[in-house]
Amino acid sequence: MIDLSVNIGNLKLKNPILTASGTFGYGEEFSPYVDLNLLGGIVTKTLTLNPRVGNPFPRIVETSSGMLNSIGLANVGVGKFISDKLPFLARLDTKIIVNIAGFTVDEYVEVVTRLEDAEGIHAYEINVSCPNVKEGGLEFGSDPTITAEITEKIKKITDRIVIVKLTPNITKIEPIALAAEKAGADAISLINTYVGMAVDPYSRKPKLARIKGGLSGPAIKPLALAKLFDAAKVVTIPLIGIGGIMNACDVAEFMITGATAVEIGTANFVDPSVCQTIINDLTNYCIEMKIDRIQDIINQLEIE
Amino acid sequence: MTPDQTRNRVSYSHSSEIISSHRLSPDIHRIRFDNPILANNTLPGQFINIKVSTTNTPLWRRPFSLHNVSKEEGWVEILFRVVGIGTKMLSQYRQGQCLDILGPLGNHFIISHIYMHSGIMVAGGLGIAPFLFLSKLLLKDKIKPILFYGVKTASEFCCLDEFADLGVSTFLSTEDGSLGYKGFITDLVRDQIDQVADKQHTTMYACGPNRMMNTLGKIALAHHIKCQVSLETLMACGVGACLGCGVKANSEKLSYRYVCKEGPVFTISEIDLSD
Repeated sequence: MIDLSVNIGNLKLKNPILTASGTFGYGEEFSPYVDLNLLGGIVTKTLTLNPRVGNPFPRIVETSSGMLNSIGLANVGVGKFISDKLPFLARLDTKIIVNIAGFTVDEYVEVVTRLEDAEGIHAYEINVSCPNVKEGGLEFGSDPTITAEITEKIKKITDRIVIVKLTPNITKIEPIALAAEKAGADAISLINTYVGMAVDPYSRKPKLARIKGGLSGPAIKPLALAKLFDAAKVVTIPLIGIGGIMNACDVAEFMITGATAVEIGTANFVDPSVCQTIINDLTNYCIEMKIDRIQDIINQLEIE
Repeated sequence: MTPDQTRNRVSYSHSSEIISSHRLSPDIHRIRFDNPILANNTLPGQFINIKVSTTNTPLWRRPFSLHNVSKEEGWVEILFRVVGIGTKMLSQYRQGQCLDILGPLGNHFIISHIYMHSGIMVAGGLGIAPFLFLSKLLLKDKIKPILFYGVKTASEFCCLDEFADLGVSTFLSTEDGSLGYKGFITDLVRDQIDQVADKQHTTMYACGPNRMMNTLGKIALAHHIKCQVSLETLMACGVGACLGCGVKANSEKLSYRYVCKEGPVFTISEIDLSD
């Protein structure tokens, strides 16, 4: 029997496969395609204090082995999430990780405060790294001091696991990762999307209404691995790898490089049942590689 | 029931074998897939999302409305124009090859047995795609199908024989006057609407450019005819997750409706196509 379980702090996941925020709705959208109870965990679409309709269209564009998005944190808001979305999630036999964002430090705290009264949530993922909103977001995530301040204030008001999701749109990720760790983060997830753009050569117009968006998909996998590698060298808290993961071998690459778990994002768009396929294939990978416990490959990169 | 209440609950991902692939004009193709489960569980207006490549290029699936379906023989057809790398690849597949199809997705056109004596379908260009399937269902329900079909030039018309074989009353327009009425199909609809249908007992179904559907919406409103439109947008997922396929809702406060999950069929009053 292969043991796929991993631990994020004291949160035990039945396997390392989580869904990436913004690519899996509020879970229910994927119930026709995936047995949600098989997942290591579900990370919800980013929640903000108030509902947001999001950015104007076009919001998405396909690029070479990837896509750009500029959704702008469209979401139902924390209140409606608790009343309409959470009851479904809370009944599942998987870990529920609620991704949250704010436009001020206080707003982050306020969102978590509202969620603290709700049952069925196992962890928070703090989005300090969305590239698609004018206010805050990215600026927070590229500043170690503010990242630390948000993390610290949230840790003060919750006993739940706090994961800080980092942006790759910085020169060096190490200072931000260290700041999050020092401020008490239980784990770090990385990376959010890379800022990118695309232009229509015939109309000379940008392909996104907001001009720039976040690049995701297999195109960014090597970049994500490099950022993970850098972060793994400096922090000791668990890392959750994100960026272009399409299959079980990609998962293994991230785990070997230092990830305790991973998040599957854009791949869900291409194949809504991909998470289930990956979990099955991860077992097969372990059998093939004669590994009894998947956690034994974490951080086992062999460098000559 | 409104289109919104009909969004599907069940969809499937299946490897489907190509039974035939035909080029109908230099850039328009029709592919028939063997897929009995899909054929028996779909209605006109719904779409399928096809993975056209086994690699990451192109990355997204491509959405196509169901063009023609045979429950008895267990096949479905799509009709498409080659417009980019995805449709180009798709056009090059041959009989016997298999593609991964996700569907049926989205909601469908509503046919009301109670009040409808006729159904007026208005197609602009490739907007013709869902109307062969719809015509068959209208006929099955003893509702008279009427087709208004406009293209730029006569060589772009497809499936006219099939519509004729079904006995669909057809009104054609071309922008260059090479066949039928010269001008936009919306002008022909405006001219003919009083003659072709009893307005109390008809529904208009439209599929084509947004500007065409916006104009039709106004015509339908002026004549008190119910109007359902089928929209096409970019979409990354087709299942309501990416939030990339929005269309402005017809509401005072800015909000969006999502084409893949809340559509692709909307009653014209639900949405704002004026942009």
